[in-house]
Amino acid sequence: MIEILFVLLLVPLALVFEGVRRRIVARMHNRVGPPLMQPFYDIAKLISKKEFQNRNEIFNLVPYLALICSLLIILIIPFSIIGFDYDFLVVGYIFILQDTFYIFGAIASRSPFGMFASVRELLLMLGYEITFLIVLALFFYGAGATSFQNYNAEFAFTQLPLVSILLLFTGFVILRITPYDVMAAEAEISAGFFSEYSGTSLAMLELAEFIKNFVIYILLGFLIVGKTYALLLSPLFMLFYMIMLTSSPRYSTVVTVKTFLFLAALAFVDIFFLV
Amino acid sequence: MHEKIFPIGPQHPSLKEPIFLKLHVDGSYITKAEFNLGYTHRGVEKCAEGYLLDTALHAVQRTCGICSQCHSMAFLNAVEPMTGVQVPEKVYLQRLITAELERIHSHLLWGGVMAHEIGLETLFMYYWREREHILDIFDELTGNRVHHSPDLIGTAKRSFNKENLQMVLEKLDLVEPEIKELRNVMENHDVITSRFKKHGNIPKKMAEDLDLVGPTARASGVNYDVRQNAPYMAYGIKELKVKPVIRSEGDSWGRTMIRCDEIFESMRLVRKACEMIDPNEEVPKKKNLIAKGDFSRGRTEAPRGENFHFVAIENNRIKRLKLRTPTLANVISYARIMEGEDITDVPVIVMSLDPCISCMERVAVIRNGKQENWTSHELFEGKKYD
Repeated sequence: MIEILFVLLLVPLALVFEGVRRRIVARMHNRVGPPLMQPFYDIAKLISKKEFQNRNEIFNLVPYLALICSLLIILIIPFSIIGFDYDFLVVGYIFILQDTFYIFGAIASRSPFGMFASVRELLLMLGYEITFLIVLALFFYGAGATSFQNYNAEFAFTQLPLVSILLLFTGFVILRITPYDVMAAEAEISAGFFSEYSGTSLAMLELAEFIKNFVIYILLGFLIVGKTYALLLSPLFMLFYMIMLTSSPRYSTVVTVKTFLFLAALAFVDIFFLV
Repeated sequence: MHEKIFPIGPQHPSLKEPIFLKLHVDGSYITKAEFNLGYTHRGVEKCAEGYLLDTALHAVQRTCGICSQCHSMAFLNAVEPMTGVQVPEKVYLQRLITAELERIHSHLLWGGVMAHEIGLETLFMYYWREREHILDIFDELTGNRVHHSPDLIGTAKRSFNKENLQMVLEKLDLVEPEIKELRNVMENHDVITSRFKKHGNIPKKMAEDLDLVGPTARASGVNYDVRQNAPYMAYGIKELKVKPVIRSEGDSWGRTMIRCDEIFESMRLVRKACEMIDPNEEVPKKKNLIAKGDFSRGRTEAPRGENFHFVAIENNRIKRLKLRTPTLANVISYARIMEGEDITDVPVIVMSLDPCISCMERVAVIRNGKQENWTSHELFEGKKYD
């Protein structure tokens, strides 16, 4: 029980992490940026707002389901509170489940922007989710581990360079970082999935995203540089993605989908080389 | 296939001003595009009606927040010959400096918005940082950063002195290398070129048929620039002849590079004009002028294309004012160039024409749910008012 409370402390940490991320992006943009506590203010303000009612049940339920997914992942990833055999596959599935919930919510909103975001996400899923699962499995296979608890590989990128690169690529889509963030393109589909959400629902979705992003940075550190340095080096991965975010515009949908289908093929080829 | 309608506007993140683009899509490809205007009508023309020329100039200068000097010059082009006032060369040069700086400012602003549309916020911020310096110049020269309104009929509100011109040259030297670097990024970044090239094609024939103006037409190979074809004010001086930038691509890429290059041509003109201007000369005092004649027209090359002003005068007051801004001429092509494009490319195509919607909006008469067509004569005489 105490462990779960300890893990729940990661939630404010994720929000502070998001605040730091915003400051870094702001400095790269040559502006001052919001205060470090801005994500807290955002969530507090959104919860206090009146919500647009009269939608269907799926639409109302999705933000809470997405938040539950994020909370489930932090129980497994940094400290392995509910670790069990082959939990890495469960983590992969939870990520897919969360994106599927977003798609449900967007389609239930009946907004054309949400619909387009869903279509794009589904197209991309063909590429990146498969790659993500294969890459996760290959990391664990390479380390000879069966769960996050007994994953002891250090600096795995030296043994699995291609797999590490594939993992970094899937990170672009999961974190919605340019150049591969067509499903969250503000310019044409106005933030995609979330465009119809407001008030508390939006606060829950944002919270789910902040926690998920925080966990992804830790997961990258965990798999690529090992358990000991995971928390320490996760800001470096964040820095890498922020440099990409601030230095590259968005590819068009066609190019993005083609890229990820190619990466999925590459992941399959990798299996034959490694296994 | 079942067709869907994808709405862009009236409120949408990729639009800075309200316009409604109704896109019929099949999958994510556009089969047909319609657009609707009339969400931000401000009635500038009506504002000026019935006022003295000096007062009307105030309304005209505030038509557009970006190209206010070009509107004021078009109005003065129409009105000054009617009053018969002798305008000294210094005033013309001052107007040219403000107008060309305005072009630089407009293109920098556009570059930033374009970078935002393709998801590159950094370039957006960097473009707008350089734009700040140009706004500082306006502050120094005219006292206002946005609606600078330095003009009076036949003269100017203040005379540029030595320190002013020195400041202009210093600031230009400061921003030029930065802008070159930004142009470099636009030209050589692979992702940017993949988004721009071969999207939103306007062949030369279409540009001529639709009477497109400004950089949009010049990107399709139409050699038309009012500054070159019908030189007005200081543009008639030999040293200040404009060499318009012409490209033949006709796609979003061509229109982007035209705007990037025009900045440097404008800088050349400003530097030359700063050299030619006499800092010690004072501009003449404002006189009360009587306009002779019934109507007149004037045109200028605004950053987005040709500005056209028609002024009819009765008893030294404005009877009818008609402004045709360049966006109205260009925006017609949206319906044609959107067809067959992907939804992803719509913001890029929309921004590549650099629309300035609220300056463009004119009256639309809708009575009992039906749109009425008025002839120019009826509108001019006001016969249908009741």
